[in-house]
Amino acid sequence: MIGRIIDVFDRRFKFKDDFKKNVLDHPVPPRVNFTYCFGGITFLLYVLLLVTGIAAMFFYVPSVEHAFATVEYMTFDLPLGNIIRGIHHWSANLMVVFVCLHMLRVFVYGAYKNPREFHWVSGVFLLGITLAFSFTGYLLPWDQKAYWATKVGVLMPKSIPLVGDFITRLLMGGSDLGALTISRFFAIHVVVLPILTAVFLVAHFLMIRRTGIAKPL
Amino acid sequence: MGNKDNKMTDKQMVFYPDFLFREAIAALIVVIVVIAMALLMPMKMGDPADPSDSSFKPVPEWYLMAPFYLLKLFPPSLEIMPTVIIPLLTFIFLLIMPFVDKNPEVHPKKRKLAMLLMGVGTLLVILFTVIGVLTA
Amino acid sequence: MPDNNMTRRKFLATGIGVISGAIALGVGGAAITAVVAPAVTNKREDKWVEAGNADDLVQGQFNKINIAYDAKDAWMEGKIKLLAYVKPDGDNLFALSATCSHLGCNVKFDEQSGKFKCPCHTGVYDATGKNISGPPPKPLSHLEAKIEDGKLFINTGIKEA
Repeated sequence: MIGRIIDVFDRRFKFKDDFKKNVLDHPVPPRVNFTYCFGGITFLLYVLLLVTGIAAMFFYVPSVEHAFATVEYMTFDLPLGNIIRGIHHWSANLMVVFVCLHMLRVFVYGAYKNPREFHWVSGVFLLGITLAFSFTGYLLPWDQKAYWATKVGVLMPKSIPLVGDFITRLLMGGSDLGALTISRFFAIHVVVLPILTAVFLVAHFLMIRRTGIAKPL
Repeated sequence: MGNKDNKMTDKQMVFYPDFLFREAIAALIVVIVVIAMALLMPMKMGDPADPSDSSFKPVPEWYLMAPFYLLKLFPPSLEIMPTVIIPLLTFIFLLIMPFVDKNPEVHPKKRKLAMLLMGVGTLLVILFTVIGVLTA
Repeated sequence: MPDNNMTRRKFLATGIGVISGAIALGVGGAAITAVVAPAVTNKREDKWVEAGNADDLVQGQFNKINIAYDAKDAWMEGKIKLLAYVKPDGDNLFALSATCSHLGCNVKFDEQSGKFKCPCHTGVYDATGKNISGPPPKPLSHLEAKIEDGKLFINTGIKEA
């Protein structure tokens, strides 16, 4: 049944052969062990975050007056809202774990070396993006934890001579943590970072296609 | 696609089904763990943000504990170290690592210096995280 | 006349390139400027706000003053909240902002030691607001305070200490 539906589309788009040749039949070195799964797991967690994040956006309002109330509504009143938030929260936590495990695996196996230097570089950017996701997402419920953790975070660049003060103001959108801080963190969290992630992920995956997975030791 | 005996042999594998199925099993386990965590540890709400409150003690998420702990270690004159310099240097170091480490060997036993540096770095991060969580 | 054609094509290519480039720069520049602008324009107002009754202040001690005043933060009209410590000493008022000079947490006054302590990174200030140990690089900011008609007023402007 599914096969027949795919065939209908394949007659128009002719993607089946290319997909089989370039993705499915791509060679994988022998003796890869379970540590090779960390990258894929990270990607899967990203998909979970995307789906639950989109669901959360149907309810969340990024403003000082409404942020807490909307998250509270989702957490306690909305059917399955707590689960959606929970999956988003725990996926985000595990994401950091698996990004680190993936990087450690790649390091120990020397898989960042020629010809895979830029796989690693794009990966380091993805690590930075992951941490930026965590930091911007942490503020959004606008509870005490969110407020003070963000305050500590945005004041950190302040110690840079000359431009530090400006960078802090730029992050806050003013001289205090307030209306504009929450809207810019929201915009960064739900639009800017996902687009950046997509760009670096596509680069990451295409380069892996080109060179193949590094051989086990 | 018909190589059935691909368990841990030295045979060349293909992405589908050999690798993708292993990946899928690992991924399924993780998804189940995430859903179980969401079910067993329901989300709660803290108190609404209050900029005029002085009784709240901010503690960051565990994965930001290491940099948070570093902030306590430096005197005022070196404040820029934990806030900017150390995070920035760590990032730059990771970025340029493949170009600095020209050693063509991949086996850890033949890359003693690289393994040592990364090992010490990783241990420090874990140590700061643990101390940070314990003293918070 | 191939030569003529090439010039024509070159002219078009250059023209389209320059105009598209200018538009891209203009739109991109406008977007970036708009995002950056509030860093400069959205400032906390420098104004006197009422912060409770003067009679409630205890003489010779630091009184914790929760300030909540109506203000405009960008588009939002609402309450802005701040914390200050005010010590009346005869006719003088000594007021300190509770914001730690390190990373902005609110400091707490510890009655026993007579010092201000920051819960975030263990910064300590003495009773004059001077930073004496831990990471804070500067003293606590002094605030302007006054009593008029039996009410305490505090100036919300951020003064660099």
